[in-house]
Parts: sequence; C-alpha cells; structure tokens
Amino acid sequence: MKIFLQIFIFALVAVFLAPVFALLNEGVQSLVSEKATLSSDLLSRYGLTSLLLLAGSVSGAVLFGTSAAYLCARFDFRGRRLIQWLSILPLGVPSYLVAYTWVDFLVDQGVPGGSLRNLPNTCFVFAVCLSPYVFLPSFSAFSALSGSLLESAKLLGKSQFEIFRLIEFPLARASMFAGGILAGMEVLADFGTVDFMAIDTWSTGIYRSWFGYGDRGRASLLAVILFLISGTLLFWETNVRAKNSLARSGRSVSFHTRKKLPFIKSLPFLFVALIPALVSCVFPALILTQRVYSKSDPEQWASVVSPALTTLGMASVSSVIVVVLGLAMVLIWRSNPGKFVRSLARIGALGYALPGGVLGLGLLILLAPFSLTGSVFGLLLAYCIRFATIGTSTLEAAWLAIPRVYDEQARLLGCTSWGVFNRVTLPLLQNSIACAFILTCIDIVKELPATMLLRPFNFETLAIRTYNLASDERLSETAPSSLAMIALCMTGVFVAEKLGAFGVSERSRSGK
Amino acid sequence: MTKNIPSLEMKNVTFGYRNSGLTLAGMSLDVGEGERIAILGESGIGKSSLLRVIAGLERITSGQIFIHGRLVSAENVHCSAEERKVGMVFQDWAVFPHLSVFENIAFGLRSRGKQNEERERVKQLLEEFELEGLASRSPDTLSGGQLQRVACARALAPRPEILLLDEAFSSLDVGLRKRIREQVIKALKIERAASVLVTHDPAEALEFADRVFHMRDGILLEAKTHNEFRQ
Repeated sequence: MKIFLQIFIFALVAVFLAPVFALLNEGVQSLVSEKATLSSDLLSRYGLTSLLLLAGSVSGAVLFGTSAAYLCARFDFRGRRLIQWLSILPLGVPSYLVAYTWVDFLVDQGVPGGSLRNLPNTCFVFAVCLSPYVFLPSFSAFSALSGSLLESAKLLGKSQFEIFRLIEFPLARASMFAGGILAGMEVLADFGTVDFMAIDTWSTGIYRSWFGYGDRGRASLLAVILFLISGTLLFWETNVRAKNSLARSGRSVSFHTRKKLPFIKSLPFLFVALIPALVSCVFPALILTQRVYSKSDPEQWASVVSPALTTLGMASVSSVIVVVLGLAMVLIWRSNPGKFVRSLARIGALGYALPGGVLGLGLLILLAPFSLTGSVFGLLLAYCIRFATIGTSTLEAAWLAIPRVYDEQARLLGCTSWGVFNRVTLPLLQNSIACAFILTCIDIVKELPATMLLRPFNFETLAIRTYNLASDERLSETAPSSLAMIALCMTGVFVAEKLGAFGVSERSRSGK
Repeated sequence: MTKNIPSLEMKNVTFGYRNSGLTLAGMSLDVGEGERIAILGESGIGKSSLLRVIAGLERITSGQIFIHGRLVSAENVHCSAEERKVGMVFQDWAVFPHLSVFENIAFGLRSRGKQNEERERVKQLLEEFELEGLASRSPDTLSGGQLQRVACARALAPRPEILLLDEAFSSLDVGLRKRIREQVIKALKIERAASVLVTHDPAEALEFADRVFHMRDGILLEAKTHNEFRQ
C-alpha cells in the first residue's frame, strides 16, 4: 500500500513539475546554442518595474486589508458585519476587469487614457483587488488574540496605541506578512492588468519574447526566473505561516470582546476599509450595469452565452478533478504515509507558484510533440496543476480540524478504514468539499494567461472574450462579459462565505 | 462471576511511545466477565495509553493481551480495533456531530451488520439512559450530560465484551456524574460486560469498581483494603 501511495504521489509531482523542467530545458538549450541571451539591461528593466509594482501593490493591500481587519476584529460599530462581508468581495473580481472598467469610465469623463496607464494607478488597482489576501489572515490573527492578554496590558497602564504597537501588531505581524506574500505572488502572476496598463513586468516580458520576437529561449528563461521568484515567495509564506502556528499553539486563546466604537469615530476607518470593495466591486458593477442597460441591445447578451457556458463547463470539470485530487490527498494523509511522501506532496503544491503564463508556456513546449497544444486536455491540465493547491490545502485543513478521536471511535464501533472515510470523514468534509469546488471555480473563471496560451481555436471563455475586446480598445463592449464574470464570481464568493470558507462570519467563528 | 475465561487478560505487556520511555512496563491484569475495575493514577502516567492498548489503537512492544481467551495483541500479533468488540467512551465523548442521537447510537450496529435489531436496540438504550425524545436531535443541541449519555449508549449498543471508560465522567458536575455512573453500571450489569474505568478521582473509582488499581511506574498495584486504597 505504501509503495502504491509513493508511486501515485511521485507520478503526480512529476506531472506538476514537468512544465517547469520543459521550460528549463528549453532555456538552457537556447543559452548553450547562444540563440537567447538575457541582457542585463533587459533584466534590470523588467526586474525594477516588477519590484516597484510589487512594493506598491503589496503595501497598499496591507494598508487596506489590515485596517479593515483590525477595525472588524477589535471594535464593534454599526455596519461591522457589512464591512467584514465587503472586505472579501474583491476576491470575486479579477484585477484586469477593474482596470478596464475604470479606464473606460474615466476616459468617457474626459480624462486622457494615456495619463491613466501608469505604475501608481496599476499599484492601486492591485492593492484594492488583493486586499482580501491580507484581510483574511489578519482578521483571523486579530480575532484570536487573547482578551486577558490585552486586558493585562491595559491594567499595566498601556494606552490603546501602545497596546497595538507592543502586543497586537507583533502578534498579528506574521499573518499580515503571509497575506502580503500571497498578494505579491498574484501581482507577479498577473498578465491582463499589466498588459492593459502598459507596464513592463516579467509577465509581459515573457509574452513579448515569445509572441512578439518569437524568441522561445528568452521567454523560457524569463519564465523560469519568474517561477523561481514565485516559488521562493511561496516557500517563505509557508514558513512564516508554520512558525506563526507554532507560536500560537502553545497558548490558550480566548476570544476577546469587541470594544464599542461610536459611529463618528469609526468613520475614518470605515472609509479606508470600504475603498477596496467600492473601487473593485460596487462601482465597477454599477458602471457595467449602466453600460449594458444604456445600450439596450439584446444581441449583446447572446454573444456572452457561449463563452459563459464554456467557462462554466471548464471551471466545473477542472474543479471536480481538483476536489477529487484533494480527497485523494486526505486519504493519503490518513494512512500516515511517512516523511518522504509528505515532502513529495509539498513539492507538488508548488503548482500554485507557477504563474498562469509560465505554466502555459511550459505546457506548450511539453504538449507540442503530442499535438495537444490548443486542446481542452491541455487547458484542463493547466487548471488542475495551477489550482490543485486550493483543493488540497482547503481539504487538508478541514481534515486536520476533525478530531482524531472520531476516527478511533468509528473503528472501535467496527468500521474499516474505508468505512471511517465514508461514514465519518467524508460527511464532515462536506462543506469544505463545496468550498474547495467553489474557490477553484472562481479562480478558473478569472484565469487569463494560461487560457490564452492553451485554448483550442475558436474557444472563448468570458475572460478571453473580455481581454480580446479590451485589447482592441472596444472597452464599452466588454460590459456584458465582465458583468457575467462578476455575477458568477460574486455568487461563488457569497456561497463560499455562507459555507464558512473564509472564517469571517459569526457562525464560522463560533466554530459551528 | 465466572473467572475461568477472563474477559480481559494482559500478560507482561510493555508499551512506549517513540522517543520516550516505557509507559507500560510489564503490566499484567485479569478482568472477569461482568467485572468492573478502576485504575487510579496521576495525570500523564499512561492510564489512557493502557486503554488505547487494550482497544487496539496502539501496538504493544511485548507481552500478550487476550480478550475472552483470544490472543489479540502480542509482539507480532495485532488484531485491529474494529475486530476486537471493545467499546470505549472517551474523555470528550466524541459524539459524531453530523449524525442525530439515534444515528450515533445505531452507528456500531450498522458497522457490525446488525441492522435488523437496530430500532429495538436503540430504543432500549434510549430508555436506559433517559434519552427518549432526543432521538432525532443533533448533538450540538444537547447538554454535556446528554452528550455523555449518548456516548455511553453508543459504546454499549453493539454489546461489546469490554467497555473502556477514559475519564468519561470527569467533566460533569458531581450530581450528574453520579447519576450517569449509576446508569452505566446498570447497563453493564444487564449486558454482563467487563469494564475498565480510568480516573483520577478516588471516590469515583471506589463507587464504580469491584476492584481498584493504582498505576505507578508502568505497572498496576491492586488496592485490596480500604487502608491500602487510602495510601
């Protein structure tokens, strides 16, 4: 059984890492044959812009995410639950869509388009769209701070600001940091936004090298560098999170009571906390709705039906595969497979560190000999590799939360291993299975670069349709497909939140 | 009380967790049919490990364990927990949160293919543990005492040969603890099942058991008289 598990995991990891090796091989061969070079000028241009974009976007996301998290976790005020809910909404809107909508809207108001496409504005778009990545872990960290710890500090004469500086911030810092790293990975992986905003990053460099100059070698080398940066960030994030959980595990946590905050005093915080939701979701949705209704052309919806169905179909099938993989991993963890298998599985999780574009290129190289580029199979494979971590981490976390004593009790009552899985583990994982499915679906609906590279001819998803229209500067025509994407993703976020996926509702926080 | 074939027999059992010393250091114990024994000892001394070894949740290092004369554990023998016909009530009861009270109690009957007697047996246990009217309730709507009774009824439902109780009453208030303990003793007498209670409360041990043991340095010492017990 153990050997079978090892072979299964090994095969899985090999499939997940194959695109990286394909890129590495392509890049090294090009370097050896001197077909491709990476000039220091090119590297510093892409590197510096990417770094500035990363710094600006992550700082903004940390500012927005932490403010909302601190406000909601530590204070009670009118509208707190609404803010909690609004703070996760940006998860359902891709950043490129926010950029298209705002640029289109502001150009209509007479602002020159060229002045809008710059680095600070791009950082702002990322900051609002990625703020939930910081909000969720920070909210969890601030909420878990022991009430007696804070009261002790108060009794020792510390002011509210000192309590924040000396206790709350240091104890929640690791969570904020981990959230910031994840946001950074998303910035590096993005293509749609930076391409539209005319910012030269690693991502755009890869595409330009491959499609613009036909330089596969240089594109591969840039992709490998991008993967290494993302992989390092993911490794860093995992370590920060692990250390943080160790620091927490030794302490008994009592949920503190929230301090009442008068409405007037809460206004400045409210303003900062509301910016991400308003800028990334509420206003874009209103602008797009207004666009659709002002056009009053029934044909505009007809053109969206086919991409919507394609998107739903691909997202559903891929998510089912991702969830099945996640359940297989839970079965493997339950069998206590040993350090080797665990380490292999951790390497497999690196799929999340593969930006869509990098993965797409890797698969293009890998699948070309089998004539599978531009196939549904290639696309499904890309989605599964890229998003498998969502399924496995969601289900693994949920499984770890099931007390081991349930398994033992079921065995004592006569259940075999399969019986325990079927009658205890699986029913207790129901909500998490639904969450893993929905979260994967949301990410696939938003996914753009890998889909662009690997889709079959005449195969259009909502993201592709929106991107193509935006690339042709037909921004006003993107409204129906953009609105359909927002509707799909928002529904997903809403249902996942109700199922407790984000841990921000009162119900999920009370542990029910 | 028949002592010819003990319900539980342990011979020189040793057991230890990895990277730590021996928790059970050559432990021997006989428990007759329908006999109730209690094991007292300080926290962390290995009382729960003893129950886990008997239940088949841990493998022993050496020695032998027999249940009704059948060898279930030895150095190279390990009969899994699901094959042992041993019931256990854990300290935190472990009532399955996704199942109703009825389904929790019927859980072991279904695993052991006793569906035909399910309804009648569950009804009987609901009455014995004063849980009538709660059959369709979800565990998250029950009080601690009710959860405790569900856990006991569930462990007894498949008619185990031995019932293991791991500090099972310790988190209840004194009055409720006494009442549930009496219900368990009554049910054990009806089923003629042997039982092993692990506790740190001497009064509880005395009230529950026919014989009381102290666990010290990985072995059991029987307290034969009240004076010994006090010591």
